[in-house]
Amino acid sequence: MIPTGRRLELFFLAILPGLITVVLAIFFLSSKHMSGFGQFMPALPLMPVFYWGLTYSRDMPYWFMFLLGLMMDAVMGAPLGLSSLLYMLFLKLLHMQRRFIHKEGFIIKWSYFAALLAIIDALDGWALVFFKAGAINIQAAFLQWVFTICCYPILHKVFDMLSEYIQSRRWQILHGN
Amino acid sequence: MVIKKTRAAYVLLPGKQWLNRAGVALLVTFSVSLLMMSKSGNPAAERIRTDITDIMTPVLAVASSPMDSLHDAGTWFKEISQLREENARLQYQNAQLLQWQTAAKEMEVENRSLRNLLKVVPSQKSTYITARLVSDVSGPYVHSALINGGSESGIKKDEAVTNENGLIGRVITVGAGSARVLLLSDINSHVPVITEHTQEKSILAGNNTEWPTLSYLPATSNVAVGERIVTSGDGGIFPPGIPVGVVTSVEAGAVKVQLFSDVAKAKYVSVVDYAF
Repeated sequence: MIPTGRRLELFFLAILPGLITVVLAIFFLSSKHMSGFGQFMPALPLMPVFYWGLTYSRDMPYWFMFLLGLMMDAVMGAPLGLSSLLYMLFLKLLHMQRRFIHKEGFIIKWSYFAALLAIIDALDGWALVFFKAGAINIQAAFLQWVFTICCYPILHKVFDMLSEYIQSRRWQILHGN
Repeated sequence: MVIKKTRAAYVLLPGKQWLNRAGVALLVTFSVSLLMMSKSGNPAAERIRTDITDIMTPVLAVASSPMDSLHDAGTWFKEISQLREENARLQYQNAQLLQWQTAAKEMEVENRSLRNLLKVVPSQKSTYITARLVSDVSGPYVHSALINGGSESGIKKDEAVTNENGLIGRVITVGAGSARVLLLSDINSHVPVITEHTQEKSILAGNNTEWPTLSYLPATSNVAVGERIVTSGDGGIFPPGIPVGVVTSVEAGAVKVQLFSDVAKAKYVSVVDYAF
């Protein structure tokens, strides 16, 4: 029987990836007072989604993608439901290839992240052109994609350390150490 | 360790998988429904949006505080380092403004007497509500911002939003404690403007870049680089005379405008209630 305190800690460890995703999403959406930065601000919420969707898919469920997308759309002023759909598609595409790339090295994972992000960005742009009846700034979209790809290795390293801690702590709690 | 599956596991696993798939299908259906409702301008979709933004606005206000402090600290250091030059510049500007003040007083008296002579109906004065900008999304796809004031503060839809430099945009949705501002650079933004010197009316149209363009200018337009653009007041949404920007290029019929207000640097904005 696991004591209540340990159970709470297990619960906290289980929601930690989601919590980090929400914090990064809030930082992405908040006002940063940097002129022109918004044009190429990296797509922060998708980085933890990719990492944890690949490493421990149970910690990144579809319902969470739906809620995250809904929050993003509501704050950004995009059509409601669009980001939810795209994030769920992102996770589905990730799960489809998970067994092939899960054990691969960082470069393969990074390349797959870049490819998935390009697909999602292209669909996002296409959908917004359709829904808002106008053109998107392709140069800014490309810059944002490049900056997101460039930032991913840093966050990947941080998530690696965090993931290691979560696993070791889970092991300690479940095996009574 | 080898985990041996029991008979119950073999029976329950497909059931659980089926439930998971049904759950995902339900979420997809719900997302598509929301998307369609959003596209058709369904009030329920807008209600969901404003409810979420009402919840998120205080969170975003807290989240943007560290960046606000950093920005303030940066500004403070910049001001300290430029104190001497700033002082000289302000003294020069003050001398110039005193000359303008004398001229303005003379013009005010003349204006008042001419208005009395012609019996001009006085225009209603605008009222202002100050709100804090908590989120500005100026990415490749959408250009909008959230402010921490809504219907409870007296903010209404279609009101103009300005800061000390000029026009920022207009309010498009209003929640109880938050409102969304469509920025001038957004592709859906169209503002009636007038060139200050040549007095040519046109529409400032956003294009999701930092340089909106002037549309519907007359073919014989004399707009040149450096011309100031202000709101014309046509349509009754924006008060006339709010500074908007300056023409930066005139190439092959495309007139690009550099906006005076930089929303990324703005911390507080004024919502203008203009009674037409």
